[in-house]
Formats: sequence, structure tokens, C-alpha cells
Amino acid sequence: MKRLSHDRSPHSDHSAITTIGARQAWSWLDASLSIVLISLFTISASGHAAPSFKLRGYGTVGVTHSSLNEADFVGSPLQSKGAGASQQWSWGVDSKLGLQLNADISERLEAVVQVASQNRIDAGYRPKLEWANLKYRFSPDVSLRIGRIVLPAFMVSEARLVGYANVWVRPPLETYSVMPFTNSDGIDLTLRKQIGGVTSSLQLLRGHLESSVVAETAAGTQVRNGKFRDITGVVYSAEYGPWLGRAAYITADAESEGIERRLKFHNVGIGYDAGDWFVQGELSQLQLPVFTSGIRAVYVSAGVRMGSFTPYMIYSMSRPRDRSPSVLANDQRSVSAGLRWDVAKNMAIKTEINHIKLNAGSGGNGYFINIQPGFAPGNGGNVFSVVLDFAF
Amino acid sequence: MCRYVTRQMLAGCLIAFILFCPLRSFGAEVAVVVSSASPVQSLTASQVADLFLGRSSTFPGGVAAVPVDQSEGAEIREVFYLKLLRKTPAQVKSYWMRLVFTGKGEPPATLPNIESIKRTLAANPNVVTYVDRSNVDSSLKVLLLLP
Repeated sequence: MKRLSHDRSPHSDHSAITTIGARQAWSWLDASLSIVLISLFTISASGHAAPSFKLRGYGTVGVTHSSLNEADFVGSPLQSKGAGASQQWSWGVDSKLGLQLNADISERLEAVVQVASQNRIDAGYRPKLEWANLKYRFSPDVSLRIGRIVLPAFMVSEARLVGYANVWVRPPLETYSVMPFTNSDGIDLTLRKQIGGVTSSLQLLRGHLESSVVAETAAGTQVRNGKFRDITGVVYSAEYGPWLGRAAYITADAESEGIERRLKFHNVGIGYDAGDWFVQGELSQLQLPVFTSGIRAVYVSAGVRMGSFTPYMIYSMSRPRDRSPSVLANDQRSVSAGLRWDVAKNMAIKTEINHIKLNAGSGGNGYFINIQPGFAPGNGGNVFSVVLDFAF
Repeated sequence: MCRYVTRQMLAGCLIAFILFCPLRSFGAEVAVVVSSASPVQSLTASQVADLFLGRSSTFPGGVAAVPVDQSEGAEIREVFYLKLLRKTPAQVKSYWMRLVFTGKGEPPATLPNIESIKRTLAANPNVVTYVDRSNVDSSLKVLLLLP
């Protein structure tokens, strides 16, 4: 039986554009890197104290198994193969490596470059620039960055690749796969203020990005060129003792295959971290006419920290805003349980089980790809992962 | 079925939590200290937490604050973070790795021993750190005691 979601009309074909990719805006990147290098050169030539450098890194080695053999489970929409139909056990779903170089050029000026290598359809494991910017601190609480940043769409967007910094094996897919791009080349301003024990932070950003977007088509996962212009973002977060609240609004002009539409993204998140237990949840909504029918996503996660062990659970789901059956993508929910074990200094072993269910009524493939004959709407599966995360 | 498994797991977590909780070591009394030359008189636990988590860069009143950690692996450091945040060294490390790899901050500098701590505090009244209460002398001012 041929898959419903593979017999897409041109309209619904576009509805499957789920994520980003990576062709970089080279002009911008060249510019930011040039600025960084010229600054370093100027500073050293002008006889100031030499800038101090710090090289650090992070990584994940992990293997994933999916019980659903008629489709591939993938760790991000950028992957063209995963666990399930393509491979019983996949190393590509979660494994990655990142390197970061920080240079303190002066007391107020800092440069950062971070590259990350992971399994992605447009790059293989070739390293891609995640961060490349110059940061100027007007004061400890006011800073300006120019260059490439990671788009702060979700609570842990910026650290989504740093497994060691997160409790989970991976951020909940049903939420973190919603945004079709993850970076912005431009400028951003961050203001911080403490009032009565509440630390408020406001981030304003402008930028653009040329990147690959991924579309699920009858021929499989395809890479297309995407342009995101006039990216504007406002992110407010407040921390009060164990409480963390956050709201983000991002808008951009998205263009692919000659079609241009306005993208609007909203996110609110709340977290409570008492130290020995925590709970966190996020609500997100993407509006991107023609390309998608719009997506709403939510997750709630909670865990208990017991010495070096952190057992946790996640409930996560996403569904189209438009519930009409003609548009099928992204209707998926999952219940997950996992355990993080801080096994050594700078090293954690995690294991996680995701029980994933696709909505039978929708006929969609959720966030699974490479749909094979025999896949039926309402299918789901259990995904099992073991990873080793490290940071240095 | 799923609900049953969920309930079992939650019950398991709870039992494990109750069993392990009393085992955690809550050793010596920890004193949060500055130089006796500092104009700052006291801090609350949440103000200390904000300073050592990089959320705040000033003492109440606006004086610049420079938090300094004891060396990694030192028992006093472990006890300090357990008492202040109920977090183990690995959990605090994980917090800082998130900030480091997102350009949001750097962990506090570290000092190896009580002698270097006292020298540093004497030279810089903006530095705030923590010591075992038994190491407090007239050169140090206690801003908060974590019993």
C-alpha cells in the first residue's frame, strides 16, 4: 500500500518542509569571521596584551533502536536516515561533536566560534558553524553581538546540541523540530536587570539566514534552498530563585522554491528547579502559510536528582493548527522515560525510551521519515537510545 | 498499560528518593565570606545563589561582586553547592557547560587553598567566596552561614 502522506499534492508537499539546514550565508559568515580575525590581528599588532584563548568542546556518542521497521526515527529533521527502516541500530541519530574557541580580545570585547559536526543530509559530518560572533559588553548587564548566533526559539535551543548540559538524551522532538531554521546572521542586544530578586533578561535580535530546508517527498528527504530574511526576535526571560519563565516571539520572511511567506513563531516556557527535582514545560506555535498548516506543540518534563542519578519523564506532542484531514504532517505524541547517570567528571551516560504514537485519524507520518510499504496511519513505535555525553 | 508503567516508575522514583536522601553528606558549616574591608554586611541564600550562578554581578547596593570558587574536587565546594542549591558538583558543572556553550557566561575562577583565598580577599574587597567556618578569622567578614 502506498503511503498517504507520500501522495502529496504540490500544496501538501510544501507542508512537509520541516527544517533547516545548513547552507550558510557565506557572505555574512565571511564578514563575521573577517571581523573576528581582523580584530584579533589589530589588537595584537597594536601592542595590547595578547588576547587569551580558550578551546573547549562537547560531544555525544550514541546508538538508537526503533521498533517501527516501516519508517525511520530521526534525531532531527536534517537527517535523511535513522533507526528503523534503514538500520536496526543507528549511530547517526544522536552522535555529534562540537568545538568552541573563545578569545577575550579586551576586557569588553570577546570573540566566539563554535563548529558542530553531526549527521545531516546537507553536510554529512562536515562541521558547520553554530556560533561566530563578536560580543561587546557595555556593562556586565548590557551586551551586543554581531555575527552568527543560535536562534533562541525554545528554552534550550542554544544548548540543544550539548548533551552534557541537558538531562534528556535529546530535547523533545515534537517541539524542537517545529522551527524550520536554527541560526541567525546579524545583530542582537541583551539587557539584564535585577529587581527584587528577579533577574530579567531581554534579548532583541535582527538577522537573516540562507540555509537548506528539508522537505519530505515521495522521493524521500530532499534538500532545498531556503532564505529567511528580516528575522526579528524578542525573547524575555525571568529567573526567581528556582523559577524560570520565558516568552519568545520570532518572525521572518521565509522563501523557498519561489514561494515567500511570513513566518510567525511564539513560545512560552516555565521551569522550576529545586535542585533535587525539577519540572519544565513549553508551549510553541508556528504559523507559516502554504509551507505548513501551522503547528502547535507542547511538552512537560520532570525528574528527580539522586546523587549521580537523574531519572526523568517527558510527555510531548505536536499537532497541526488546521485539523482538516487534507494536511497531515506533524501529528505525533510521545511518552518518554530516561535515566541520566553522571558517571565521571564531565561525562554522563543516558538511556531513554520513547513510546511514540501517531494520530490514526491524520494519516500523517509525524516526525518519522523514509516511510515504507506496510506503514499504516496510527502506527507508532518504541525508540530506545543509549548515549555517552561529554564536555571538556 | 502505559499508565500502569508510568505509575510504577513514579513510585520507584519516589522510593529511591526517600532511600537515598538521608545518605547525602551535609558536612561542615560553610561561611560565605568577603574581606573585612568590604562595605557589604550580609547576603541572603538566594543572593549568594544568584552571584555563584552568574545571574547577578553586583552585591545589593551595586558594589561589583567577583565570586570565586574553591578548587574542583574540594570537599568544601561540594558541601557549599549541596547546601546552597541541593546540587552535586556534576549538576553544577552541567549548568555551567550550558552557559559556556551558549555564550552566556563563564564559571567563577577557582583558588586552590585557604592561604591563596585569604591573600586574594585581602587584595580585592570585591571578591566573595566560601570557607569552612573554622577558617574564619578577623581578616574575613561572614555574609551568610550555611548550617
